[in-house]
Amino acid sequence: MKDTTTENRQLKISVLRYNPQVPGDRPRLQTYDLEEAAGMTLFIALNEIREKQDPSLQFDFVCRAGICGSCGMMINGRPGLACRTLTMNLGPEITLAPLPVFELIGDLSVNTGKWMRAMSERLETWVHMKQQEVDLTRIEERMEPQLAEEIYLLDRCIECGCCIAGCGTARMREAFVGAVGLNKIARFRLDPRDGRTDDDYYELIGDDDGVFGCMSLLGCHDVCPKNLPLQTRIAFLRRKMVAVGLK
Amino acid sequence: MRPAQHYTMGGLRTRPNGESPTLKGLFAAGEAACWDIHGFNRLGGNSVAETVVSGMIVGEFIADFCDKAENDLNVPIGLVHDLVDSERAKLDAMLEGSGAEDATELKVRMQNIMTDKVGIFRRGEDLKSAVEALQQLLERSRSIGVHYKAAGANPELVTAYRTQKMLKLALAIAHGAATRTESRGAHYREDYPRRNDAEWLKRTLATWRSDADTLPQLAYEALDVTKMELPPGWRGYGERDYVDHPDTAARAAEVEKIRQHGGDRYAIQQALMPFVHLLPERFRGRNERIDEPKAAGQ
Repeated sequence: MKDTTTENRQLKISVLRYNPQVPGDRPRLQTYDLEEAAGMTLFIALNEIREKQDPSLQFDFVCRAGICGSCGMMINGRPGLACRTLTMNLGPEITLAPLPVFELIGDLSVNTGKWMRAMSERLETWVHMKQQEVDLTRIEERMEPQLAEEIYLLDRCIECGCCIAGCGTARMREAFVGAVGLNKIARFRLDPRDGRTDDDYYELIGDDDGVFGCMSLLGCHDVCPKNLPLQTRIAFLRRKMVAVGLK
Repeated sequence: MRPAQHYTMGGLRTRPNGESPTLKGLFAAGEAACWDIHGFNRLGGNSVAETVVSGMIVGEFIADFCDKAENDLNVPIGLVHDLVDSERAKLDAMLEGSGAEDATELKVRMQNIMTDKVGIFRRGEDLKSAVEALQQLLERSRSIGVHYKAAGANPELVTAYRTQKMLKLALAIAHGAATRTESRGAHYREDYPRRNDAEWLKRTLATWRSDADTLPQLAYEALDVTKMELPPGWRGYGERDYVDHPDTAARAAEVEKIRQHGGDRYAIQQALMPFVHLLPERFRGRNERIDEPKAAGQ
Protein backbone atom coordinates (compact mmCIF):
# COMPACT_ATOMS: atom_id res chain seq x y z
CA MET A 1 0.00 0.00 0.00
CA LYS A 2 1.14 3.48 -0.82
CA ASP A 3 1.75 5.60 2.24
CA THR A 4 -0.78 8.38 1.75
CA THR A 5 0.49 10.36 4.72
CA THR A 6 3.64 11.28 2.81
CA GLU A 7 3.46 14.81 1.48
CA ASN A 8 3.61 15.29 -2.26
CA ARG A 9 6.75 16.86 -3.66
CA GLN A 10 6.74 20.53 -4.56
CA LEU A 11 7.95 20.91 -8.13
CA LYS A 12 9.63 23.96 -9.58
CA ILE A 13 9.05 23.98 -13.32
CA SER A 14 11.08 26.57 -15.21
CA VAL A 15 9.91 27.31 -18.74
CA LEU A 16 11.90 29.20 -21.36
CA ARG A 17 9.36 31.80 -22.40
CA TYR A 18 9.42 33.99 -25.46
CA ASN A 19 6.63 35.14 -27.74
CA PRO A 20 8.03 36.39 -31.06
CA GLN A 21 4.61 37.96 -31.79
CA VAL A 22 4.98 40.41 -28.90
CA PRO A 23 7.15 43.38 -29.87
CA GLY A 24 10.06 43.82 -27.46
CA ASP A 25 9.53 40.47 -25.74
CA ARG A 26 12.76 38.87 -24.51
CA PRO A 27 13.50 35.22 -23.84
CA ARG A 28 13.42 34.49 -20.12
CA LEU A 29 13.00 31.60 -17.72
CA GLN A 30 9.79 31.68 -15.74
CA THR A 31 9.40 29.35 -12.79
CA TYR A 32 6.10 27.86 -11.66
CA ASP A 33 5.58 26.12 -8.32
CA LEU A 34 3.35 23.10 -8.47
CA GLU A 35 2.40 20.25 -6.16
CA GLU A 36 3.15 16.89 -7.70
CA ALA A 37 0.33 14.35 -7.98
CA ALA A 38 0.45 10.58 -8.35
CA GLY A 39 1.14 9.54 -11.95
CA MET A 40 1.69 13.14 -13.03
CA THR A 41 3.19 13.65 -16.48
CA LEU A 42 4.65 16.89 -17.77
CA PHE A 43 1.56 17.17 -19.96
CA ILE A 44 -0.67 17.15 -16.88
CA ALA A 45 1.65 19.55 -15.04
CA LEU A 46 1.68 22.04 -17.93
CA ASN A 47 -2.10 21.93 -18.28
CA GLU A 48 -2.48 22.53 -14.58
CA ILE A 49 -0.15 25.52 -14.81
CA ARG A 50 -2.09 26.90 -17.74
CA GLU A 51 -5.48 26.35 -16.09
CA LYS A 52 -4.60 27.63 -12.64
CA GLN A 53 -1.59 29.91 -12.89
CA ASP A 54 -0.89 31.26 -16.35
CA PRO A 55 -3.37 31.05 -19.25
CA SER A 56 -0.81 32.64 -21.57
CA LEU A 57 1.61 29.69 -21.49
CA GLN A 58 2.01 28.24 -24.98
CA PHE A 59 2.60 24.52 -25.56
CA ASP A 60 1.06 21.96 -27.88
CA PHE A 61 -0.66 18.66 -27.25
CA VAL A 62 -3.49 16.66 -28.74
CA CYS A 63 -3.59 13.00 -27.78
CA ARG A 64 -1.82 12.87 -24.37
CA ALA A 65 -0.80 9.29 -25.25
CA GLY A 66 2.39 9.51 -27.32
CA ILE A 67 0.65 9.11 -30.66
CA CYS A 68 0.17 12.61 -32.09
CA GLY A 69 3.76 13.86 -31.69
CA SER A 70 2.73 17.41 -30.73
CA CYS A 71 4.30 17.77 -27.29
CA GLY A 72 7.97 17.30 -28.09
CA MET A 73 10.13 19.68 -26.01
CA MET A 74 13.51 19.94 -24.34
CA ILE A 75 13.16 18.37 -20.89
CA ASN A 76 16.19 19.20 -18.74
CA GLY A 77 18.11 19.67 -21.98
CA ARG A 78 17.00 16.43 -23.64
CA PRO A 79 14.30 16.13 -26.34
CA GLY A 80 11.26 14.12 -25.25
CA LEU A 81 7.46 14.00 -25.22
CA ALA A 82 5.80 15.84 -22.35
CA CYS A 83 2.93 13.33 -22.24
CA ARG A 84 5.28 10.36 -21.92
CA THR A 85 7.47 11.89 -19.21
CA LEU A 86 6.49 11.18 -15.61
CA THR A 87 7.54 13.90 -13.20
CA MET A 88 8.39 11.19 -10.62
CA ASN A 89 11.33 10.21 -12.84
CA LEU A 90 12.74 13.74 -12.69
CA GLY A 91 14.16 15.83 -9.86
CA PRO A 92 11.98 18.47 -8.19
CA GLU A 93 13.44 21.21 -10.40
CA ILE A 94 12.59 20.78 -14.06
CA THR A 95 13.64 23.01 -16.94
CA LEU A 96 11.61 23.04 -20.16
CA ALA A 97 12.54 24.69 -23.45
CA PRO A 98 11.20 24.53 -27.01
CA LEU A 99 12.75 22.09 -29.48
CA PRO A 100 15.57 23.77 -31.41
CA VAL A 101 15.81 23.78 -35.25
CA PHE A 102 12.04 24.26 -35.74
CA GLU A 103 10.36 27.63 -36.16
CA LEU A 104 9.29 28.98 -32.78
CA ILE A 105 5.59 29.79 -32.43
CA GLY A 106 5.96 30.86 -28.79
CA ASP A 107 7.17 29.47 -25.45
CA LEU A 108 7.24 25.64 -25.86
CA SER A 109 5.27 25.59 -29.10
CA VAL A 110 7.22 25.03 -32.33
CA ASN A 111 6.11 24.53 -35.91
CA THR A 112 7.22 20.96 -36.56
CA GLY A 113 4.48 20.62 -39.18
CA LYS A 114 6.08 23.12 -41.53
CA TRP A 115 9.44 21.36 -41.32
CA MET A 116 7.93 17.88 -41.72
CA ARG A 117 5.86 18.95 -44.70
CA ALA A 118 8.91 20.36 -46.49
CA MET A 119 10.85 17.15 -45.76
CA SER A 120 7.95 14.97 -46.96
CA GLU A 121 7.59 16.89 -50.19
CA ARG A 122 11.30 16.73 -50.85
CA LEU A 123 11.63 13.01 -50.15
CA GLU A 124 8.21 12.21 -51.68
CA THR A 125 7.24 10.16 -48.64
CA TRP A 126 4.31 8.35 -50.12
CA VAL A 127 3.90 5.07 -52.00
CA HIS A 128 4.81 5.56 -55.65
CA MET A 129 2.60 2.95 -57.28
CA LYS A 130 3.78 1.00 -60.26
CA GLN A 131 0.46 1.33 -62.05
CA GLN A 132 -1.64 4.46 -62.26
CA GLU A 133 -4.96 3.00 -61.19
CA VAL A 134 -5.58 0.14 -58.78
CA ASP A 135 -8.51 -2.17 -59.55
CA LEU A 136 -10.37 -1.86 -56.29
CA THR A 137 -12.64 -4.81 -57.03
CA ARG A 138 -9.67 -7.19 -56.97
CA ILE A 139 -8.36 -8.81 -53.84
CA GLU A 140 -5.30 -6.88 -52.68
CA GLU A 141 -1.83 -8.20 -53.35
CA ARG A 142 -0.70 -10.17 -50.35
CA MET A 143 2.21 -9.30 -48.15
CA GLU A 144 4.15 -11.61 -45.85
CA PRO A 145 3.11 -10.85 -42.26
CA GLN A 146 6.77 -10.50 -41.31
CA LEU A 147 7.30 -7.83 -43.96
CA ALA A 148 4.11 -6.05 -42.92
CA GLU A 149 5.45 -6.05 -39.35
CA GLU A 150 8.77 -4.58 -40.48
CA ILE A 151 7.02 -1.80 -42.39
CA TYR A 152 4.68 -1.16 -39.51
CA LEU A 153 7.59 -0.89 -37.11
CA LEU A 154 9.06 2.01 -39.13
CA ASP A 155 5.61 3.48 -39.79
CA ARG A 156 5.25 4.07 -36.04
CA CYS A 157 7.15 7.36 -36.44
CA ILE A 158 4.95 10.19 -35.12
CA GLU A 159 7.05 13.06 -36.55
CA CYS A 160 7.49 14.61 -33.11
CA GLY A 161 10.82 16.18 -34.09
CA CYS A 162 12.83 14.82 -31.14
CA CYS A 163 15.35 13.16 -33.48
CA ILE A 164 15.92 16.48 -35.27
CA ALA A 165 16.34 18.34 -31.99
CA GLY A 166 18.87 15.72 -30.88
CA CYS A 167 20.81 15.72 -34.16
CA GLY A 168 24.28 17.26 -34.53
CA THR A 169 24.06 17.49 -38.31
CA ALA A 170 20.64 19.17 -38.27
CA ARG A 171 22.17 22.01 -36.24
CA MET A 172 24.80 22.57 -38.92
CA ARG A 173 23.01 21.76 -42.16
CA GLU A 174 19.68 23.45 -42.58
CA ALA A 175 18.56 21.10 -45.36
CA PHE A 176 19.52 17.84 -43.62
CA VAL A 177 16.52 15.46 -43.72
CA GLY A 178 17.42 13.87 -40.38
CA ALA A 179 16.49 10.51 -38.94
CA VAL A 180 12.79 11.12 -39.49
CA GLY A 181 13.39 11.57 -43.25
CA LEU A 182 15.81 8.68 -43.58
CA ASN A 183 13.45 6.42 -41.62
CA LYS A 184 10.69 7.25 -44.08
CA ILE A 185 12.87 6.29 -47.04
CA ALA A 186 13.74 3.05 -45.22
CA ARG A 187 10.00 2.43 -44.79
CA PHE A 188 9.02 3.00 -48.44
CA ARG A 189 12.09 1.08 -49.61
CA LEU A 190 10.67 -1.99 -47.83
CA ASP A 191 7.21 -1.55 -49.30
CA PRO A 192 6.65 -3.80 -52.34
CA ARG A 193 3.86 -1.47 -53.54
CA ASP A 194 6.40 1.32 -54.02
CA GLY A 195 7.96 1.04 -57.47
CA ARG A 196 11.00 3.20 -56.71
CA THR A 197 14.47 1.64 -56.89
CA ASP A 198 17.68 2.39 -54.99
CA ASP A 199 18.73 4.56 -57.96
CA ASP A 200 15.64 6.70 -57.33
CA TYR A 201 16.32 6.87 -53.59
CA TYR A 202 19.92 7.86 -54.30
CA GLU A 203 18.60 10.93 -56.09
CA LEU A 204 16.70 11.84 -52.91
CA ILE A 205 19.20 11.04 -50.13
CA GLY A 206 22.56 10.29 -51.79
CA ASP A 207 24.26 13.48 -50.60
CA ASP A 208 25.31 15.40 -47.49
CA ASP A 209 21.76 16.63 -46.90
CA GLY A 210 20.72 12.97 -46.95
CA VAL A 211 22.25 9.81 -45.59
CA PHE A 212 25.88 10.92 -46.08
CA GLY A 213 25.35 13.95 -43.83
CA CYS A 214 24.83 11.69 -40.81
CA MET A 215 27.86 11.74 -38.50
CA SER A 216 26.67 8.64 -36.61
CA LEU A 217 26.38 10.51 -33.33
CA LEU A 218 23.00 8.80 -33.09
CA GLY A 219 21.38 11.21 -30.67
CA CYS A 220 18.27 10.49 -32.73
CA HIS A 221 18.35 6.83 -31.74
CA ASP A 222 18.85 7.69 -28.07
CA VAL A 223 15.97 10.16 -27.82
CA CYS A 224 13.34 8.61 -30.16
CA PRO A 225 10.21 8.29 -27.97
CA LYS A 226 8.98 5.42 -30.15
CA ASN A 227 12.25 3.49 -29.88
CA LEU A 228 12.59 3.20 -33.65
CA PRO A 229 15.66 1.25 -34.81
CA LEU A 230 17.21 4.39 -36.32
CA GLN A 231 20.82 3.29 -35.84
CA THR A 232 20.51 0.10 -37.91
CA ARG A 233 18.16 1.63 -40.49
CA ILE A 234 20.45 4.58 -41.22
CA ALA A 235 23.53 2.31 -41.39
CA PHE A 236 21.75 -0.08 -43.75
CA LEU A 237 20.51 2.73 -45.95
CA ARG A 238 23.99 4.25 -46.10
CA ARG A 239 25.43 0.90 -47.26
CA LYS A 240 22.77 0.63 -49.98
CA MET A 241 23.36 4.19 -51.14
CA VAL A 242 27.14 3.68 -51.23
CA ALA A 243 26.53 0.69 -53.49
CA VAL A 244 24.57 2.89 -55.90
CA GLY A 245 27.21 5.65 -55.72
CA LEU A 246 30.02 3.23 -56.57
CA LYS A 247 28.20 1.70 -59.53
CA MET B 1 -9.70 4.69 -13.43
CA ARG B 2 -12.93 6.20 -14.65
CA PRO B 3 -14.87 6.27 -17.90
CA ALA B 4 -14.40 9.19 -20.26
CA GLN B 5 -15.98 10.46 -23.45
CA HIS B 6 -13.87 9.39 -26.41
CA TYR B 7 -16.09 9.30 -29.46
CA THR B 8 -19.07 11.32 -30.63
CA MET B 9 -21.96 9.36 -32.10
CA GLY B 10 -23.43 12.02 -34.29
CA GLY B 11 -22.14 15.02 -36.13
CA LEU B 12 -22.99 17.20 -39.08
CA ARG B 13 -26.06 15.78 -40.81
CA THR B 14 -25.09 14.57 -44.26
CA ARG B 15 -26.64 13.02 -47.31
CA PRO B 16 -25.24 9.67 -48.48
CA ASN B 17 -22.61 11.58 -50.50
CA GLY B 18 -21.33 13.30 -47.34
CA GLU B 19 -22.74 16.70 -48.25
CA SER B 20 -24.75 18.82 -45.86
CA PRO B 21 -28.43 18.98 -46.84
CA THR B 22 -28.55 22.64 -45.83
CA LEU B 23 -25.27 24.10 -47.09
CA LYS B 24 -24.09 23.29 -50.59
CA GLY B 25 -20.44 22.32 -50.81
CA LEU B 26 -20.04 21.54 -47.10
CA PHE B 27 -18.94 17.92 -46.69
CA ALA B 28 -18.25 15.91 -43.55
CA ALA B 29 -16.83 12.42 -43.10
CA GLY B 30 -15.90 10.17 -40.21
CA GLU B 31 -16.55 11.20 -36.63
CA ALA B 32 -17.47 14.72 -37.74
CA ALA B 33 -20.46 13.42 -39.71
CA CYS B 34 -23.92 12.01 -39.03
CA TRP B 35 -23.71 9.61 -41.97
CA ASP B 36 -25.79 6.87 -40.29
CA ILE B 37 -23.04 4.29 -40.35
CA HIS B 38 -23.12 3.34 -36.66
CA GLY B 39 -26.66 4.01 -35.58
CA PHE B 40 -26.87 5.02 -31.93
CA ASN B 41 -23.82 3.16 -30.74
CA ARG B 42 -20.40 2.77 -32.24
CA LEU B 43 -18.80 -0.61 -31.62
CA GLY B 44 -15.10 -0.70 -30.75
CA GLY B 45 -12.76 -0.52 -33.77
CA ASN B 46 -15.46 0.73 -36.10
CA SER B 47 -14.30 4.33 -36.18
CA VAL B 48 -11.18 3.23 -38.05
CA ALA B 49 -13.35 1.35 -40.57
CA GLU B 50 -15.53 4.45 -40.83
CA THR B 51 -12.54 6.67 -41.53
CA VAL B 52 -11.34 4.38 -44.31
CA VAL B 53 -14.75 3.75 -45.90
CA SER B 54 -16.17 7.25 -45.65
CA GLY B 55 -12.84 8.76 -46.63
CA MET B 56 -12.89 6.71 -49.81
CA ILE B 57 -16.54 7.33 -50.70
CA VAL B 58 -17.03 10.90 -49.53
CA GLY B 59 -13.58 11.85 -50.77
CA GLU B 60 -14.59 10.71 -54.25
CA PHE B 61 -17.80 12.74 -54.07
CA ILE B 62 -15.86 15.82 -52.96
CA ALA B 63 -13.46 15.40 -55.90
CA ASP B 64 -16.42 15.01 -58.27
CA PHE B 65 -18.05 18.09 -56.78
CA CYS B 66 -14.90 20.17 -57.25
CA ASP B 67 -14.57 18.96 -60.84
CA LYS B 68 -17.86 20.50 -61.94
CA ALA B 69 -17.84 24.05 -63.25
CA GLU B 70 -21.29 24.77 -61.81
CA ASN B 71 -19.85 24.29 -58.31
CA ASP B 72 -17.26 27.02 -58.68
CA LEU B 73 -17.28 29.11 -55.54
CA ASN B 74 -19.09 32.31 -56.37
CA VAL B 75 -19.60 34.23 -53.15
CA PRO B 76 -20.05 38.00 -53.06
CA ILE B 77 -16.97 39.60 -51.50
CA GLY B 78 -19.27 41.67 -49.29
CA LEU B 79 -20.61 38.51 -47.66
CA VAL B 80 -17.08 37.33 -46.88
CA HIS B 81 -16.23 40.71 -45.35
CA ASP B 82 -19.41 40.67 -43.28
CA LEU B 83 -18.54 37.29 -41.81
CA VAL B 84 -14.91 38.20 -41.16
CA ASP B 85 -16.08 41.40 -39.46
CA SER B 86 -18.59 39.61 -37.25
CA GLU B 87 -16.07 36.91 -36.22
CA ARG B 88 -13.42 39.54 -35.56
CA ALA B 89 -15.91 41.50 -33.47
CA LYS B 90 -16.50 38.40 -31.33
CA LEU B 91 -12.78 37.93 -30.74
CA ASP B 92 -12.26 41.63 -30.07
CA ALA B 93 -15.09 41.60 -27.57
CA MET B 94 -13.23 38.94 -25.60
CA LEU B 95 -9.86 40.67 -25.93
CA GLU B 96 -10.88 44.27 -25.43
CA GLY B 97 -14.32 44.11 -23.85
CA SER B 98 -15.21 44.44 -20.23
CA GLY B 99 -16.17 40.78 -19.78
CA ALA B 100 -15.08 39.34 -16.45
CA GLU B 101 -15.87 35.67 -16.94
CA ASP B 102 -12.94 33.23 -16.93
CA ALA B 103 -12.98 30.76 -19.85
CA THR B 104 -11.07 28.01 -18.05
CA GLU B 105 -13.39 28.18 -15.05
CA LEU B 106 -16.46 27.85 -17.29
CA LYS B 107 -14.86 24.97 -19.18
CA VAL B 108 -14.01 23.05 -16.00
CA ARG B 109 -17.56 23.57 -14.68
CA MET B 110 -18.94 22.26 -17.96
CA GLN B 111 -16.67 19.22 -17.78
CA ASN B 112 -17.83 18.46 -14.24
CA ILE B 113 -21.50 18.80 -15.17
CA MET B 114 -21.09 16.50 -18.17
CA THR B 115 -19.19 13.89 -16.12
CA ASP B 116 -21.56 13.99 -13.15
CA LYS B 117 -24.92 14.29 -14.90
CA VAL B 118 -24.62 13.38 -18.59
CA GLY B 119 -22.43 10.31 -18.23
CA ILE B 120 -23.08 6.61 -18.79
CA PHE B 121 -26.07 6.22 -16.44
CA ARG B 122 -28.51 9.06 -16.93
CA ARG B 123 -31.61 10.24 -15.07
CA GLY B 124 -34.21 12.80 -16.07
CA GLU B 125 -33.75 15.08 -13.08
CA ASP B 126 -29.95 15.11 -13.47
CA LEU B 127 -30.24 15.86 -17.16
CA LYS B 128 -32.72 18.63 -16.53
CA SER B 129 -30.47 20.30 -13.97
CA ALA B 130 -27.47 19.79 -16.27
CA VAL B 131 -29.28 21.59 -19.10
CA GLU B 132 -30.18 24.48 -16.79
CA ALA B 133 -26.64 24.79 -15.45
CA LEU B 134 -25.13 24.60 -18.95
CA GLN B 135 -27.51 27.31 -20.17
CA GLN B 136 -26.26 29.57 -17.39
CA LEU B 137 -22.67 28.80 -18.35
CA LEU B 138 -23.44 29.58 -22.00
CA GLU B 139 -24.88 32.94 -21.03
CA ARG B 140 -21.85 33.64 -18.85
CA SER B 141 -19.55 32.61 -21.70
CA ARG B 142 -20.84 35.57 -23.68
CA SER B 143 -18.99 37.84 -21.26
CA ILE B 144 -15.66 36.06 -21.22
CA GLY B 145 -12.73 38.39 -20.76
CA VAL B 146 -9.24 37.46 -21.91
CA HIS B 147 -6.37 38.85 -19.86
CA TYR B 148 -3.50 37.93 -22.14
CA LYS B 149 -3.86 40.22 -25.13
CA ALA B 150 -1.03 39.01 -27.40
CA ALA B 151 -1.79 38.64 -31.10
CA GLY B 152 -1.07 35.41 -32.95
CA ALA B 153 -1.28 32.05 -31.18
CA ASN B 154 -2.86 33.16 -27.91
CA PRO B 155 -3.74 30.09 -25.82
CA GLU B 156 -6.12 31.99 -23.55
CA LEU B 157 -8.07 33.34 -26.54
CA VAL B 158 -8.17 29.84 -28.04
CA THR B 159 -9.64 28.47 -24.81
CA ALA B 160 -12.21 31.28 -24.72
CA TYR B 161 -13.23 30.79 -28.35
CA ARG B 162 -13.49 27.04 -28.00
CA THR B 163 -15.30 27.09 -24.65
CA GLN B 164 -18.27 28.97 -26.11
CA LYS B 165 -18.60 26.35 -28.83
CA MET B 166 -18.02 23.42 -26.47
CA LEU B 167 -20.89 24.67 -24.34
CA LYS B 168 -23.23 24.68 -27.33
CA LEU B 169 -22.20 21.13 -28.15
CA ALA B 170 -22.62 20.07 -24.51
CA LEU B 171 -26.11 21.60 -24.55
CA ALA B 172 -27.05 19.77 -27.76
CA ILE B 173 -26.00 16.48 -26.12
CA ALA B 174 -27.60 17.14 -22.72
CA HIS B 175 -30.83 18.59 -24.12
CA GLY B 176 -31.16 15.74 -26.60
CA ALA B 177 -30.57 13.19 -23.83
CA ALA B 178 -33.04 14.88 -21.46
CA THR B 179 -35.75 14.85 -24.12
CA ARG B 180 -35.20 11.23 -25.22
CA THR B 181 -37.26 9.27 -22.69
CA GLU B 182 -35.93 5.82 -23.56
CA SER B 183 -32.61 3.95 -23.62
CA ARG B 184 -30.87 3.30 -26.91
CA GLY B 185 -27.31 2.45 -27.85
CA ALA B 186 -24.90 4.45 -25.75
CA HIS B 187 -27.73 6.52 -24.24
CA TYR B 188 -28.91 4.75 -21.06
CA ARG B 189 -31.68 6.24 -18.91
CA GLU B 190 -32.13 4.67 -15.47
CA ASP B 191 -35.66 6.11 -15.42
CA TYR B 192 -36.44 4.79 -18.93
CA PRO B 193 -34.36 1.63 -19.27
CA ARG B 194 -36.29 0.15 -22.22
CA ARG B 195 -35.58 0.75 -25.87
CA ASN B 196 -38.77 2.16 -27.35
CA ASP B 197 -38.84 1.80 -31.13
CA ALA B 198 -42.52 2.74 -31.26
CA GLU B 199 -41.82 6.29 -30.11
CA TRP B 200 -38.09 6.86 -30.47
CA LEU B 201 -36.81 5.15 -33.60
CA LYS B 202 -35.70 8.50 -34.93
CA ARG B 203 -32.57 10.56 -34.97
CA THR B 204 -32.29 13.83 -33.10
CA LEU B 205 -31.33 16.87 -35.15
CA ALA B 206 -30.20 19.87 -33.14
CA THR B 207 -30.04 23.31 -34.73
CA TRP B 208 -28.87 26.61 -33.26
CA ARG B 209 -31.21 29.21 -34.70
CA SER B 210 -29.77 32.38 -33.29
CA ASP B 211 -26.71 33.58 -31.38
CA ALA B 212 -28.98 34.74 -28.59
CA ASP B 213 -30.48 31.30 -27.93
CA THR B 214 -29.38 29.20 -24.98
CA LEU B 215 -30.92 25.98 -26.29
CA PRO B 216 -30.73 24.36 -29.71
CA GLN B 217 -33.97 23.59 -31.48
CA LEU B 218 -34.57 19.84 -31.60
CA ALA B 219 -36.21 18.12 -34.54
CA TYR B 220 -36.63 14.44 -35.21
CA GLU B 221 -36.16 12.44 -38.38
CA ALA B 222 -37.96 9.08 -38.30
CA LEU B 223 -36.18 5.97 -39.51
CA ASP B 224 -38.15 3.97 -42.07
CA VAL B 225 -38.38 0.39 -40.80
CA THR B 226 -40.07 -0.77 -44.01
CA LYS B 227 -36.85 -0.11 -45.95
CA MET B 228 -34.43 -1.71 -43.53
CA GLU B 229 -32.28 -4.70 -44.36
CA LEU B 230 -32.22 -5.62 -40.69
CA PRO B 231 -35.24 -4.23 -38.84
CA PRO B 232 -34.37 -3.54 -35.20
CA GLY B 233 -35.06 -6.57 -33.04
CA TRP B 234 -33.50 -8.56 -30.28
CA ARG B 235 -29.72 -8.20 -30.21
CA GLY B 236 -29.02 -11.83 -29.43
CA TYR B 237 -28.03 -11.12 -25.84
CA GLY B 238 -29.65 -9.67 -22.74
CA GLU B 239 -33.36 -9.52 -21.98
CA ARG B 240 -35.94 -9.19 -24.71
CA ASP B 241 -37.15 -6.04 -23.05
CA TYR B 242 -37.96 -3.42 -25.64
CA VAL B 243 -40.92 -1.91 -27.45
CA ASP B 244 -41.13 -2.82 -31.13
CA HIS B 245 -41.94 -0.36 -33.85
CA PRO B 246 -45.39 -1.13 -35.34
CA ASP B 247 -43.80 -1.83 -38.75
CA THR B 248 -41.11 -4.16 -37.46
CA ALA B 249 -43.02 -7.48 -37.50
CA ALA B 250 -44.25 -7.02 -41.07
CA ARG B 251 -40.83 -5.94 -42.31
CA ALA B 252 -39.10 -8.84 -40.51
CA ALA B 253 -41.48 -11.27 -42.27
CA GLU B 254 -40.82 -9.57 -45.61
CA VAL B 255 -37.05 -9.81 -45.13
CA GLU B 256 -37.40 -13.47 -44.22
CA LYS B 257 -39.46 -14.09 -47.37
CA ILE B 258 -36.88 -12.39 -49.61
CA ARG B 259 -34.10 -14.44 -48.06
CA GLN B 260 -36.15 -17.67 -48.46
CA HIS B 261 -36.76 -16.82 -52.09
CA GLY B 262 -33.00 -17.03 -52.58
CA GLY B 263 -30.82 -15.85 -55.45
CA ASP B 264 -27.23 -14.72 -55.39
CA ARG B 265 -26.14 -12.27 -52.73
CA TYR B 266 -26.35 -9.35 -55.13
CA ALA B 267 -29.99 -10.12 -55.97
CA ILE B 268 -30.87 -10.52 -52.28
CA GLN B 269 -29.14 -7.27 -51.38
CA GLN B 270 -30.89 -5.49 -54.25
CA ALA B 271 -34.27 -6.77 -53.06
CA LEU B 272 -33.61 -5.98 -49.39
CA MET B 273 -31.85 -2.66 -49.53
CA PRO B 274 -30.40 -1.40 -52.78
CA PHE B 275 -27.43 0.92 -52.24
CA VAL B 276 -25.13 0.55 -55.23
CA HIS B 277 -26.75 3.50 -57.02
CA LEU B 278 -25.70 5.73 -54.11
CA LEU B 279 -22.00 4.98 -54.58
CA PRO B 280 -19.60 6.93 -56.77
CA GLU B 281 -19.41 5.35 -60.24
CA ARG B 282 -15.98 3.83 -59.78
CA PHE B 283 -16.91 1.96 -56.60
CA ARG B 284 -19.91 0.14 -58.07
CA GLY B 285 -18.01 -2.90 -59.32
CA ARG B 286 -18.49 -6.33 -57.81
CA ASN B 287 -15.71 -7.10 -55.38
CA GLU B 288 -13.70 -10.25 -55.82
CA ARG B 289 -13.76 -12.65 -52.89
CA ILE B 290 -11.64 -15.68 -52.11
CA ASP B 291 -14.64 -17.95 -52.81
CA GLU B 292 -15.72 -15.82 -55.80
CA PRO B 293 -12.57 -15.44 -57.90
CA LYS B 294 -12.65 -13.14 -60.90
CA ALA B 295 -11.17 -14.09 -64.24
CA ALA B 296 -8.57 -11.76 -65.72
CA GLY B 297 -10.16 -8.95 -67.70
CA GLN B 298 -13.54 -9.51 -66.05
